Amino acid sequence: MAASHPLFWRLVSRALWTRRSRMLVMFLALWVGAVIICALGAIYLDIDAKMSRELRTFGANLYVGPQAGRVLDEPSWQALDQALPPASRLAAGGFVYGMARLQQESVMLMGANLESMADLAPYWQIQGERLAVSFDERHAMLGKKLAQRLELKPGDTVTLVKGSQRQDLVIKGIVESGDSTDYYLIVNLALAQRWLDSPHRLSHGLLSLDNQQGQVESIAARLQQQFPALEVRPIRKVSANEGAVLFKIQGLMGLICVVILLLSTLCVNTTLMALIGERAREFALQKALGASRQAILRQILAETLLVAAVAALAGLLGGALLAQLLGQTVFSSSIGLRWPVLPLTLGISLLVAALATVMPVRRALALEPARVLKGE
Amino acid sequence: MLGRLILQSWRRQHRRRLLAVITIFLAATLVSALLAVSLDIGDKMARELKSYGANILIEPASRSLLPQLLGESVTVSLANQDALDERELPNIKDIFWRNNIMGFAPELDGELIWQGQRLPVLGTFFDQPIAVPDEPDYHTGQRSISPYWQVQGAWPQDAQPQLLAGQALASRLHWQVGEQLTLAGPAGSHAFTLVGLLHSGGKEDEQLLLPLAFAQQLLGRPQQVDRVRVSALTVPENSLSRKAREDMDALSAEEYDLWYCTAYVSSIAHQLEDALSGSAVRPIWQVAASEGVVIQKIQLLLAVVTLVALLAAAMGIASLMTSNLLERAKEIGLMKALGAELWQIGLLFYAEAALCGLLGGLLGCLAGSGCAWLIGQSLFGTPLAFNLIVVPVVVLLSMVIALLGTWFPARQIARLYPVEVLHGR
Amino acid sequence: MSLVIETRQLSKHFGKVTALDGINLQIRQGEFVAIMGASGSGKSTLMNLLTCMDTLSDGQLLLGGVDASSFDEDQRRRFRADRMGLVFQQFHLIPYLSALENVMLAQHYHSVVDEAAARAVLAQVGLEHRMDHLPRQLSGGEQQRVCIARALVNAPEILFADEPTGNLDEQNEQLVLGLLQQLHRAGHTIVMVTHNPELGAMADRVIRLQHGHLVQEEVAYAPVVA
Repeated sequence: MAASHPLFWRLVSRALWTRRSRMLVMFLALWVGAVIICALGAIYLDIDAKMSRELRTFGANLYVGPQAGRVLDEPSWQALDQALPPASRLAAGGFVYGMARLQQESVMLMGANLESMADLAPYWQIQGERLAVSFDERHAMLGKKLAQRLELKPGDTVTLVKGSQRQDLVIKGIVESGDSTDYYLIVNLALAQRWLDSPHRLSHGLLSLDNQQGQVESIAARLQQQFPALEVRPIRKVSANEGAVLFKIQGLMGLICVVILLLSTLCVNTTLMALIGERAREFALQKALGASRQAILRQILAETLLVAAVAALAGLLGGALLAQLLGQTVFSSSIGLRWPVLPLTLGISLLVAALATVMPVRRALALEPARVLKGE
Repeated sequence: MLGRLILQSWRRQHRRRLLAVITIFLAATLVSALLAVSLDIGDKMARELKSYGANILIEPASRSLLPQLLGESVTVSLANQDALDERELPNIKDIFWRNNIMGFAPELDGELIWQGQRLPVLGTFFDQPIAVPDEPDYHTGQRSISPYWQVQGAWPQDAQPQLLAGQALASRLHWQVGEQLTLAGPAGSHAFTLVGLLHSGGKEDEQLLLPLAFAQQLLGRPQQVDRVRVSALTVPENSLSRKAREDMDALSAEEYDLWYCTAYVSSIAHQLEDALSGSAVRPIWQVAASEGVVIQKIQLLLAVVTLVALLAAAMGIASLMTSNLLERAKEIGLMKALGAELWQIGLLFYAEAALCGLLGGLLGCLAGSGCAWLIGQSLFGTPLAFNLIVVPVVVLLSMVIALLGTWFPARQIARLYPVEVLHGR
Repeated sequence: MSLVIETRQLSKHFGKVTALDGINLQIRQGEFVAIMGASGSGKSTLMNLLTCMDTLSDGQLLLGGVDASSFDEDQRRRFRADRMGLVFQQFHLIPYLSALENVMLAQHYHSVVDEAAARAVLAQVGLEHRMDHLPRQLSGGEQQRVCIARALVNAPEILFADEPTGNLDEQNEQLVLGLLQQLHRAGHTIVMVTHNPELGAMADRVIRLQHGHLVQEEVAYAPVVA
């Protein structure tokens, strides 16, 4: 076996060293290829998680309310919240609505878990500041339409009036959402419940669930069975589309990854072929010296695969870094590296290297050595 | 002689030159396809995201209607108020950004009586033909702007007395598809057929939906519309549109023009407000803002991926050109020995590289447009628009990269004495 | 008779190795000079210096009465293109150019391309039937004759030949040598590097090198007066 012969490895190492500038070119080509495969593979495998998170900007996708004629109280809301698969639950918030009097006029009061509104209604356009702590009972937010009617702006104070009770609230932000929220005075849930004399009662609750595999429908169905006293239904406007849009995005990324993969491997391939094809004379000489085709092929394969393996390993490293860079740039979060990236990168790199070696060597060996040596 | 040199080297060593052209061709294909996709993806994804429904709401300016609550029983004050005029609806398709209006649906709220029960009803367009100047067979309605509605049974015909019942309402009243229902209102009564049940996940689940004309007739509110939902293709909001929203008067004349001529949701809303008298137009931010976020993400993702692919392609081309030139070091040595001037040798190799870049780039654009077409077809069902700006960009880029890939090794080789190259040192 | 080449104490060092040491040499116009010596004697180095393909370390090199020691790269290139013809042991023909085009390439780098002149030179070396063949379609002797034609096409003052027959069989060797003699008789100055005494015997004068030193100059034949 030629591979075990010391001269074999000497030939290989010599060839690598004496042609180091070309080997560097070869290494770089393979390395770039491996980096691309690794980074794109990592991004592709993580894109559904990343984009499904992005799609949560559409807000809550599950509605929980009382069945007709019943009420939703906090204990059953909390029980339902507990029953959710923790991995899927991204945000939850209860709401209570009612009429309240301000000094000026009657307004709709909305009590909400303000700390979760950033996740349940990330699309709110807020002028001023967002109220994001649940215990704050001195501040409020105001719907834009209401603010326009009352001619209030952030920093102004409104006073809730109930009999002899008064409660001053400083307007922290004006909310514009384009739906009924624009008409509300928004305060913290506990305050609203107290003011409306409906402790522990909720009008409804909203949930934002991870909908990567369209699981919201099935979770809703399961919860409905578990809590027959409640009405649980997906907010179809949001939930039904996530899957479709996600599928499109994943498909897009998938196609693009395949195109990039295909073309960049071909690019690497042509470079390697040029580098190896250049050595036709050397192969012819070896053949003329009596080396068998297998021996020559084996030697050059060993050379190339050695470079390819090193390049692929370095490429994995570079690819992981690149994926993180891209993840930070686009999603402001790191990309999870999943294990299929490893065999994918190594496999494709080595395959490309092997293919790019075998083809030109076979061609060179098919020619008569004399003709090659003469300088064809 | 230069032409002859190049011609002969390509004719007689086409294998080697071909490899360079193929590499550049592949790289150019990749880059042009990605460029085309990233240039058009915003538009395509915006269309996809239209499945989230309308993103603009038109209401009468003087509206003091109490809000409707999600899930709470709907209370609509019937106190007669200002309404929009149905006859003005075609104006929506007459604004500057009319081609971005994907669809709209007017809505009229009210209560009708069925067997002594007051039921909330919604008069609307389902799929109504509308006379619009440019598009003779334009039709629109909830079918196009609320694609997330699931209808069990059939959608009602706008000209027929047909009903669509919210599933919550229907199950409470034990209605089945095919039921004959007679509805009475302040201005008369009419017999309807229930043709479908609606699952929307919103307040429509509690409502009875009927064609606008019948609703107007029964409620005694001819030509009146309470609100119009509009679905428009928009571009993501940026600092300019935010500035415009906060205070339009603060915009300079150029800023105003730019804002007006860009399909921001706020500028479309502004134009709609001018088109319909007595209207107040607001973006539905749940859809409008979120769309922007998602589209920007996708655009950024593609831009970044394109950049990476570009870099990879550049390195691929450069490394091939390098190996190509290393291979021809002897040729360069001989030319130097024959007394060729450096620029003469350079000209030859640069001309060849540029030619490779030109040829590969042009062919790559062709194949790239094919790739983009394929991506568009298989993902969105419509071909992606291939922006022609891609062609000069990609061709130029290919040539520059090929030249750079030649320049580095050429400089190195040119520094050698001919004797070093000729004797293989 | 003017001196075409004159060297004064010409030396070349490669690092610590001295390849040529104090060579004094004069070559007159119309002379056929052979530079001989064993492998490693410095004859190739001397040739490279005389053809301006390498820079000297010490001493002086006068070409046509002009001091070439301080020539910059461009001047050396110009001198080579204008006044020298080079014939290599390895031929060094461009593989994708035909015989004619290879000759024309030298014209191109010299001044302007003149196809008729190129054809005439190729005919002169006996290749009128092989003009449009590629190097790989030509035999070694034919390739070397193309090489000579390429060297002659610009009517150089000096023809340098580096082991011109090193890669040729006997028959082709005779052919090429005959050609060189013919050129010599026509008045060309020829400098030939060889280790073959038979070839050396054909020259007017033989310069022997040993370990970088000039050991002997001998006159083989009476100089032919041009």
